[in-house]
Amino acid sequence: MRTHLLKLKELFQTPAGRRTLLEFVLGNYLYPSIAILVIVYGALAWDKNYFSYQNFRNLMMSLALSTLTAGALMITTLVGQIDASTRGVSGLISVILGVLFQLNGWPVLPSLIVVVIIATLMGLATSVMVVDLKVNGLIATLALVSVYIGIAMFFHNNQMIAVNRPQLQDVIYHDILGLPATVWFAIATLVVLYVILNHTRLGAHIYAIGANPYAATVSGVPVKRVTRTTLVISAVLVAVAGVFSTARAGLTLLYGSTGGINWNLGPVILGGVSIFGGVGRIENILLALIFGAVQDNGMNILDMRTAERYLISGVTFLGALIINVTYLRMRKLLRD
Amino acid sequence: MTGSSFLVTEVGAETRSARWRRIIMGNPILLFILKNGIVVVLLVELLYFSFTLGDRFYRPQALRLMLLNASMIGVLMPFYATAQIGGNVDLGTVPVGALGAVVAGLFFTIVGFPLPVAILLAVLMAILIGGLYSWVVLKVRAPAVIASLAVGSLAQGIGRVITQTWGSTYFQIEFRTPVLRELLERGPLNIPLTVWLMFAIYLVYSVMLSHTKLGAHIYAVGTNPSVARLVGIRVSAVTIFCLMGITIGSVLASILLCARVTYVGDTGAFSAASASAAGALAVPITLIGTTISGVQLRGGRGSLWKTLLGLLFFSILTVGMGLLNMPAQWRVIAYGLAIVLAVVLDSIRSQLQID
Repeated sequence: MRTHLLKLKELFQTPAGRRTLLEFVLGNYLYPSIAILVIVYGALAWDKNYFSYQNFRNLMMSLALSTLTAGALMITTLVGQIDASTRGVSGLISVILGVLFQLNGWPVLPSLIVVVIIATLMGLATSVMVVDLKVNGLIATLALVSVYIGIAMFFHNNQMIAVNRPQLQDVIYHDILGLPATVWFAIATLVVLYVILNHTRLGAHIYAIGANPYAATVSGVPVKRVTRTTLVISAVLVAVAGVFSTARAGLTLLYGSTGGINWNLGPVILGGVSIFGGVGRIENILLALIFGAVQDNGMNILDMRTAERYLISGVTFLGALIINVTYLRMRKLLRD
Repeated sequence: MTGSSFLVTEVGAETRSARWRRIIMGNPILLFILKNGIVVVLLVELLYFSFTLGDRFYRPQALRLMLLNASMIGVLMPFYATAQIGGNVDLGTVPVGALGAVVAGLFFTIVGFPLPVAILLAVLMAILIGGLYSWVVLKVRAPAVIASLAVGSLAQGIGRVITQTWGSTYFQIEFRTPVLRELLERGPLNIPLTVWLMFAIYLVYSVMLSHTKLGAHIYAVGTNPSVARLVGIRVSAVTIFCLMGITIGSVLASILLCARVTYVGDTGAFSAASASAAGALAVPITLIGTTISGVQLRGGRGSLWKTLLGLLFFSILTVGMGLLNMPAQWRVIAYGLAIVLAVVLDSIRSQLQID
């Protein structure tokens, strides 16, 4: 007992102890944060059926959507190329889906196949800029957003399309074991990404390139091919997220609903992915996504104004960035 | 630095980049295009509008409008370009500038303070945001590109709180200032005062960059911050100067823009006034302008005066397309292609080490 107390005292009083303590807090603060959020929102929205099955379903739906974009951003960030084209890709894909499926009356499957093919082409376009022309990923993808949105504005005279043929919703909201198909798709994506990152050669290469691209090149890692693959996977995941949110809203997304980069990058760095590449685990991302989904769901159920939403997302992004970089430096995971 | 040295397989073999470098250096036309991409696109643009618009394009009113449009972003450009030369790519000018203007609008229209006090409070807000931004870049040591996104996101949140509480349903606050409107309409030689203001800022900043110690230090920090620190340059002070310049510059530019459209809003008047499709542009117009004018994305290289050509390119595009009644889509695509071209040229230049 006495020795335990001594150790505790050491933890608070010596510099090394305080450092260990801070490291522990920065590495695990998300667990209590989520619990606190649930308690606070639960208390505030008790009479609005916060703890109901319907609300749990809503929470899982928004979690599924954010999982796809976060998964996309995560693997590109891991190779050291932040993919900021989410808004452009999802926006253009949504409009194309609206034109094919709603206006031209295509069946669901062919529309989805065309959408995935177009997303693959968009991923390849990004990779030409990033891999072949060696433009920084963040800048290249931001540049392409304007091109994609410009193209999307040409369809249907720049008006939103109401996507209300029931077939798409039937597929996306189809219940399997009490949860919509979207949620299962997101879970499957997480599992696949987990296996790729932790148990395949591709995953090892992704971490190696992100940690040090030059070292990876001289060790024989096919840097170009791996980077290209991640950018294509990212575009396809974002496209699927675009399809889901189009179906959910029943409208095409004019400027891309999955938000700009400042909405999507937040959860990824909150989950401890290094913005410099090479560091980050998918389990931690999931934790950050749950935090984000609980936050989002609470704000929805309380009918908060956009003002509070914007403010909270801004504070979260900035706070996540500060914590992320500090923590990675403390653990000496960053090259200076 | 290019990492190409280990790609040499045999002694004496030429790497691919070395071969391209030799070809381009031996061809004066290619070299000129690479170094002065902005001059080429500007010429193409002028030729195109001359043919399609004819005399309408060269009327004094159109020219005046082009200059006025250019000056709206032009008063921010020297600050922005200087920061980029100092190694900081900033993506937060639009929300930060918008927040400043919203603060000015709040105190001027809602509270009823005199205009100078309102502007002073906006500048104070800019200093606060700039301080936070500098802290994140210098103490937390996050790259400016991400830090500006995060700070911009926070600024947009604060701006939205103000506009949603005191503004109209469109999150706007009225901003009618005869004094500032006067600046935009009148001036010597029938050229608005803001244009003269832009030239003045350009002059001061270009003298600072090319003839003072601070200017040399900015180039040094942008080229290699570690070496700059070793030779005794106060890197932190230089960086704070650059970042504070951006936030204060974008607030002042944003206030001018808002005076022109007579309202302030949290989504920013930059995109509204320059692309007429707010929200469609993911990259601040300033970044497109500097990069297409040859300011290196990694910092350390670039000429301030060339960015004036970049500004002219955009304002001529806006006015020309307006005269041609082209739909907004084309403008967004044109901006998008301009930034794609700009970053590709930048990448080729820095890989082949041509500057």
